[in-house]
Amino acid sequence: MNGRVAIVGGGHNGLVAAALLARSGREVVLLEARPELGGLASTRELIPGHRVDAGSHDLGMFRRSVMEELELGEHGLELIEAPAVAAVPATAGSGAVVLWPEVGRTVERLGQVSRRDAAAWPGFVFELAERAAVLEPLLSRPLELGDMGRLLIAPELMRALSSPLDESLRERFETPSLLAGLCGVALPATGLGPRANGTGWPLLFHCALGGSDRLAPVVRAQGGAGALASALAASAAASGAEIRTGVAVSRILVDSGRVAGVQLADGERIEAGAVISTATPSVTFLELLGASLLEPGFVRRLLNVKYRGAAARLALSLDGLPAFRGLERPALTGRIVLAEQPDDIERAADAAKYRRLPDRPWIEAALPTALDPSLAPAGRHLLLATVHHLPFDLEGGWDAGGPELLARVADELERWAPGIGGLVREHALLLPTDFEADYGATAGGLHHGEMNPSQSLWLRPTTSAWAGEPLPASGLWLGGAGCHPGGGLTGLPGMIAAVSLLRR
Amino acid sequence: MTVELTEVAGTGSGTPSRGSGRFDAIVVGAGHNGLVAAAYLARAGLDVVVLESSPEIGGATRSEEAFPGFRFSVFSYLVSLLRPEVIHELDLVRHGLFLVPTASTLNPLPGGDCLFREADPQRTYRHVARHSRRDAEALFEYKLEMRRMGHLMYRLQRAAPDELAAAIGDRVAESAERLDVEVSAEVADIARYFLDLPAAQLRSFVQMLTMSSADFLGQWFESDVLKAALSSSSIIGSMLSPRTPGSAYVLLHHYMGEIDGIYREWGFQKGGTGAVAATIARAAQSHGAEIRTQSPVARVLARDGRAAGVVLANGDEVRAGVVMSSAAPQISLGRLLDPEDVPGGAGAGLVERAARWQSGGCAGKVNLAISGLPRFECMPEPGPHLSGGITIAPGLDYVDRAYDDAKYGGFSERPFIDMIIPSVLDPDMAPPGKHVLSCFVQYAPYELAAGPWDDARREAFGDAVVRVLAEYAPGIEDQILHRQVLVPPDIEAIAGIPGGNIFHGELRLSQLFLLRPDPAAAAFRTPLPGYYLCGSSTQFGGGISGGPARLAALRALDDLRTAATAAGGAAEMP
Repeated sequence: MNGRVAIVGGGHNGLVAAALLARSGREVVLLEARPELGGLASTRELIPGHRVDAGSHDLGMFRRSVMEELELGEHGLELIEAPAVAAVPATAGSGAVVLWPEVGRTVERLGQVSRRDAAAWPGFVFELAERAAVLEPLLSRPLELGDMGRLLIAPELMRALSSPLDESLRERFETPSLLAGLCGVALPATGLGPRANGTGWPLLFHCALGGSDRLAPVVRAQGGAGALASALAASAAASGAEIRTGVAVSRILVDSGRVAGVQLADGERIEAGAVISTATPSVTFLELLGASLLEPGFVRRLLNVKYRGAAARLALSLDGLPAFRGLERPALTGRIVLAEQPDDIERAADAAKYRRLPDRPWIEAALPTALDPSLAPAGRHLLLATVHHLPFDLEGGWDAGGPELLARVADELERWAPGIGGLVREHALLLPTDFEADYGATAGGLHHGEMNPSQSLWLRPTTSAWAGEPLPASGLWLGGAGCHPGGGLTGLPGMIAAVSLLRR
Repeated sequence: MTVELTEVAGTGSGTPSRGSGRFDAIVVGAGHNGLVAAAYLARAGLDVVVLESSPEIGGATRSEEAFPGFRFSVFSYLVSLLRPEVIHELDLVRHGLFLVPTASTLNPLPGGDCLFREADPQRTYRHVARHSRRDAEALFEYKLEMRRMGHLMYRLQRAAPDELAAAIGDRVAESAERLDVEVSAEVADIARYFLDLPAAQLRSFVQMLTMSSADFLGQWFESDVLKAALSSSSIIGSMLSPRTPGSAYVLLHHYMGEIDGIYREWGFQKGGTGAVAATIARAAQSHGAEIRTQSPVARVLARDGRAAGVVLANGDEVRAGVVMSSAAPQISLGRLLDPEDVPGGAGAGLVERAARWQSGGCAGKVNLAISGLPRFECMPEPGPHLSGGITIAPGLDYVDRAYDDAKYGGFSERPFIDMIIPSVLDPDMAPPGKHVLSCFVQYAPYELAAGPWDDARREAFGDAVVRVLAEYAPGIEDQILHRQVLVPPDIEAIAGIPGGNIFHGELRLSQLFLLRPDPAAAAFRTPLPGYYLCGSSTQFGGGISGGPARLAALRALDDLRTAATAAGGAAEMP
């Protein structure tokens, strides 16, 4: 049997798998269709002279042990932890809310807005950490059926993950913008409004993987998220992995039920005894493997995977820092949540149900140059506005919808940071259709499958099985966000795939 | 046995003690669950009294003559979930249970079209095939799957949840250790059944607890009309839309019933659902239970770390070693219980958690007295469709928009309506030639953003319902003789359910199984020995089922037997 492992996709998960396998002495070839590595965590010059992160740019959930194991520091990765976790600018009804990693600092700041909320904060952080600690082991290794017992005996955890987030938060807090800020940390790319059951789950997910001592910290890579991909690639290459960009895999080759390798778009065949696919389940099985090899039940399951929660990314080159009401410079370094209250997010999700654009788009903003000025030319700042909860199948289509969305986003930004329009020099916009076309993100969903409880844990494909059944070809492994534990810049699916393959 | 049990309970001589204020067991609340619990306890020989605050029994199943000659089931309207073992063991048929199946469901659609599903699968196939041939084929497979899942839940319902969790957790040593519960043979059997399920079925089951009914139904069907029609069962009584995660479970909850062994059959009780309560009351009385109305309970009395009776609102004490409450947790755990009385300091937590229980109502009831049968545009002439359910849910977007209105604190401008015409099934419900039309309507939130539910807002809600009805049954507005509009605060006031949720609490994963209604009281026992919960807000509760009350009563009887054995052992010692 051929001992080579072919890895489909050079996103961060594919690179983690490649580096870990190569380090263990396996022969590895990684194939990425795009010219640059990193996938949804890549950095591109979408605006000339600017380093723009196309998708994820927060390394707060990335596995630290993997960074150490792969010596990413030696391979050029420099981390910058943002002083702020999240901030909501001041609104007509409330002062600005800023959440810091340090509990005391947050309490002090919250005290300016609500004495009650300030008093409730430490208990909230402690409780989250406690629950996250129960969950964490389930997310960082192959999941077993017996693990269900862990949740069964933890009723409060079960309740927290299955409840509407808005409702759980209201049990403790009263300030609408604080509630909105926490929803803003949890709900990006989920497509769900905070009144939906199960929205407690993404917050716990963030906390479980963000480190138990702090609440979902924001961590960036010097030079943009693409620097993570570069460091991973350098580590993999140093261990002997072969990394090829600009080569699209068109087929996973199967011979009598066993993986035999992959075929590239130009017809080249690469033999391999194992293939790790980091593509979405739909792409992996329906496009690369081919429906003819699949049982009808398996195909039906594939067609029923939900990819809702599409997003658009607007990058703006600005003449200076925008004036978000009530936020000082350090507060601009984390997530900037533009929602006055949880229902603003709910209403954006409502519009998507009916395949419409929201009247007021829900924007998660970031100013990466506030931490790392090297990302833009001197004197310029970069604002990344991620517009969440968009319908992929927009009524009327995205050709007409794109310009309309841009106009609405501009209005919304102006509302939150008056005068920002006058600072804009250049812009670039990635629509949900671009995420699908450029990055293979089925239906524009950034998580390769909705991250709600009905598609998580035992209900998400694992690296080697789905719904208790082995994958349809032996030697085929999943290693992308579409499998357990799911999306986000964690490196875990890739790590679990590599570890499982090495154990086999 | 009577004497033994009574002595162990330490509440008296075992002779009937009418008016003496001493019983073996007290049941708080005379809704259908309270009455079922009383019947089981009395049947086992206990001296039982049911204390009901309002002048009438029945709780949310109550029926009344709202207008001269016109009888209505005030809130509830159909029966299916009533547990067959309850019917059988309490001999309810002998006491007057008389269920007439509602054999069809009509979904009128805009433009005079409709979807009509009948008992005859061939005819239903033809109706559905008009909308989608593929869906007509898939309907058979879907029903099979729902029957499988319903059966699974049905089996689960026979077990107490803590025991079940222990049995399942057995595979994980640590959970078994932490729970430290003994598992009965029956429960172990069910747990084995659960764990031995094919992976696909177990997955389906877990999925149903977490996904939306629109997604769940989307796995089978393509036609929006059929999906909307089937999704009706997923929102009944719940502040959920078919697209809200978790609504698939509510769908399943409505697929666990049967009538006379016919799975998923729904039926109408002759005389209205109030007659179901009356039937159970007669069964309870036949075993000697006493039912006192207008006897509001103020609090549970405790002595030596055990329940010892209750104190009525008028200050009277009623003593008993077993106290069982059928009320929602805000009352049972939050109001009736003095946290100081609960051993081990568990009281404060109970009260705190009861306060966060979600039981805000979402449904209203519009009861209409009409001068003649409605003429639906799609089927204007009288026919079998009028003796079944008729549902206005013409599409998923329609229902979702109705939900969105309520989400932000309004009532639905264009509501979802689930109606029956009881007088077609039971002519005694209305004067000859005239009819009653029972409309269960969503969504009507407990609290309106605009202000309290005053008469003007009630009538505006009633008008919205009539407007929608008139779109599908033109001329109905002129047939209306009387109109009764009830909204969640009315359900709260009349049936005593805080928030007015018909299930005593939303049926969703965060309030099910070990969380229903509280992790410390999820198996009918509370941390105060001798005090039990038996209402809709307990395990598997919701709907006219009697199931939770039966399990609660059996558990209390088990405890008495265990205590009797222990006491017997002790007595033999020198």
